[in-house]
Amino acid sequence: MYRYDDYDQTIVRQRINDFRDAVERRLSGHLSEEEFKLIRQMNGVYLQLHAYMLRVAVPYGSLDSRQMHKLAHIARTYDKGYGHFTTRQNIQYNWPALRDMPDILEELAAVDMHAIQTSGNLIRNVTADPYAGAAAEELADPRPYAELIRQWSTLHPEFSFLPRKFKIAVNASATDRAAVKFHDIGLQLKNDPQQGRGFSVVVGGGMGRTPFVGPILRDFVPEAQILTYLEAVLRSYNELGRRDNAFKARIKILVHELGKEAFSEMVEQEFARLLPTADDLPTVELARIRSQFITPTFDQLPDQDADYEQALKTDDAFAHWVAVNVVPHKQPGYAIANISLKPYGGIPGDISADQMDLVADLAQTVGHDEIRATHAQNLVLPHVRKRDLYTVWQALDKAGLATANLDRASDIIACPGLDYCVLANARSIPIAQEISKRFAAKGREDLIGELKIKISGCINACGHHHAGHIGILGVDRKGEEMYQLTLGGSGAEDASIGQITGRGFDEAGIVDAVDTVVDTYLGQRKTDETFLETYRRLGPAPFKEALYGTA
Amino acid sequence: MERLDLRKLTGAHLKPYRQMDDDAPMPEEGAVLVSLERLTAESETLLAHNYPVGLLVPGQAKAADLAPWLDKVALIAIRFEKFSDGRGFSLAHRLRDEQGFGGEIRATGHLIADHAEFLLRSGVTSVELSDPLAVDHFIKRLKLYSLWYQDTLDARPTILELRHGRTRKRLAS
Ligand code: HEM
Ligand code: SF4
Repeated sequence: MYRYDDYDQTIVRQRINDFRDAVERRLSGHLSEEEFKLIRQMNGVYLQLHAYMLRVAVPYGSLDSRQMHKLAHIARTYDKGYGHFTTRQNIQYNWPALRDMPDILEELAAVDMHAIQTSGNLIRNVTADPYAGAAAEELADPRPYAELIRQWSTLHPEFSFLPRKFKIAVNASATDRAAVKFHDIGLQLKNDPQQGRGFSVVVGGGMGRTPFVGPILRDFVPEAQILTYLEAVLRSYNELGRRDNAFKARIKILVHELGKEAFSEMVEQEFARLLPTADDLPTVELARIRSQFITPTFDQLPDQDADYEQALKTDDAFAHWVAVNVVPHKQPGYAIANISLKPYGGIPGDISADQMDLVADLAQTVGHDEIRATHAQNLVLPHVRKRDLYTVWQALDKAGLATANLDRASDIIACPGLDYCVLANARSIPIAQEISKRFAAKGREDLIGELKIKISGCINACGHHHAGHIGILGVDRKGEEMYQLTLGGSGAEDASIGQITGRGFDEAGIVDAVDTVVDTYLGQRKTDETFLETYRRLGPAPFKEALYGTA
Repeated sequence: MERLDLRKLTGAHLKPYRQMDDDAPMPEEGAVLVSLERLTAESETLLAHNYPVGLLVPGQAKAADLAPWLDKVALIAIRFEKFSDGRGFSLAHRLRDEQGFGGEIRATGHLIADHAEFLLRSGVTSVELSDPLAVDHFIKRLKLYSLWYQDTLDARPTILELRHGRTRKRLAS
């Protein structure tokens, strides 16, 4: 965990006072509703269908027990007793009152948290690999870089009124768990034999109505120059991004319309101008940030633990959970435990205050005090000793948090959809619940293996349907809620955009359609082939035939 | 129109400028703001006058296009067409950092108090506001913030400098 110093604290406190002031100016009529909208968004306050919501930043998805307890407290005191983890590693409260917002922000500040820049047309909360610091194959912990960028982008004087929102993700493993290719800027850490550590920089990825797998704008930027390079990209975007049409305002459209080469040339020119006077302070600062991270002191353990092995043999449910939700850790004797927030038939990402407290307690007692939120709307205990896994699982199981479905059919990402969102065409959550129940009931998940289903209630694609192995998109057909199906997307290192199968389905039909697609896969797959591999090998034809019959 | 110096938190010493339409006759006296088009077309007569001439440009103007005039005009006024349009911040930054402009940069147009600190730190030195109350809000906000992470384009220390006990290169050089 990164520990705030007095400066970080002061920034957050100043911003709260500022927000109080803005609320007062709004109430006294000195800010128009339109002007206030922008300011509240910059502070994480969004207007939904029924009420205001507060989106709290969980920078790069990292939390400690103190912070998780605070989130539980806020859920109990100011909301209806639960919170909702989002696809950008944040947590959202759907029911707090506007007048309580500044007080909630004070509560958050007490544990080094805030809601700054979780909404609005500016650089949003920076996301990163949820397994950071634990993954066996990572080059380095990506979080210090993400923290450097968080600070640099916080209340940035020049980049707080951009054409549109701007999302940056950092990944440091060969496996991409941060969806870097679908971000406005995606940073992939790499080692260069001559220049040392740096980033390959993806610019202009995104979802929405015009999805793009972002192109690599520069193959290598030394880590010491990364803020300078970001400055060059952001300045070019701020000056040239379209402001005439909100749907064409993202950087992906600018890169697409200008062409990658022309945009890159512009950025290179600005980068070259900035480099000679660029300061080395960020590099010095990176070292300080690293030292401000509390990194766990791991026990020196043998990789195998007799009691753990015994529990695996005697308790099938535990063994099943381990097989599905637990992944290898870089440290012998340790494991990474994924906590699914996708109980069968539940609302993806929802978690009660009591469950938050339990996760916090587990982290504190047996998890080196670390918790992560993932972009798939789940949680992670990144550092658990194998010998503690059985205790952890028992506690999770009692609290309804031990669903063994990581990356399985029922581990669905869904946006808020028509249940909460003003822009929605159709409901997302009930579809997720029905699909989840369908696969739970049949118990086919183990047979199917890895399958990522993602659901958005409209073309804005908050539920990442473009990147789903199976994607579902809510559309409006003459006032009726309908769903389109896309196949073959991926948000990982092999990123791709799903293709639409054909005409849409109604609420009941879409669940059957998913079933049909999965059956087709099971019938056609070769040994050990995942759904995505089978789809890529066969193409859409057999799936279309199964869905619509031969034309 | 009210004026405010963002560093001194008063506008008493700031000159008022009259915005001139491109076809409006020039006044006998008083400072004026003209567009880049007019300045380019009438530079000889305009700059020969004994009143200060400032350049009024929209946020999307290119700093490099203004370069030939920077040592000839009394001030650059950047017009914010809409409060949500942040191009003026980048223009101010470029005028300072890329073009080395050391004179007054004044922001006008659709400004809200929430811009105050951002304007100052992007290199804007003064603002023109239509509402006297807005001046109070600007001052209040400027007093609210004492610290910032990023480079400020003026002598005020950033958090990085405070943390590491040294001055950044750009200013030192
Ligand atoms: C309920 C209120 C919400 C509204 C009105 C809303 C609105 C939007 C809009 C308009 C876009 C398209 C932006 C663009 O392409 O320029 C978008 C994209 C996105 N939203 Fe939401 N959203 C809401 C909730 C959420 C929630 C709860 C999440 C997280 C679970 C979320 C995550 C995203 C993501 C990840 C994108 C995606 C894609 C991208 O960056 O290109 N949104 N949202
Ligand atoms: S995808 Fe559409 S329906 Fe879903 S949250 Fe985003 S804007 Fe709302």
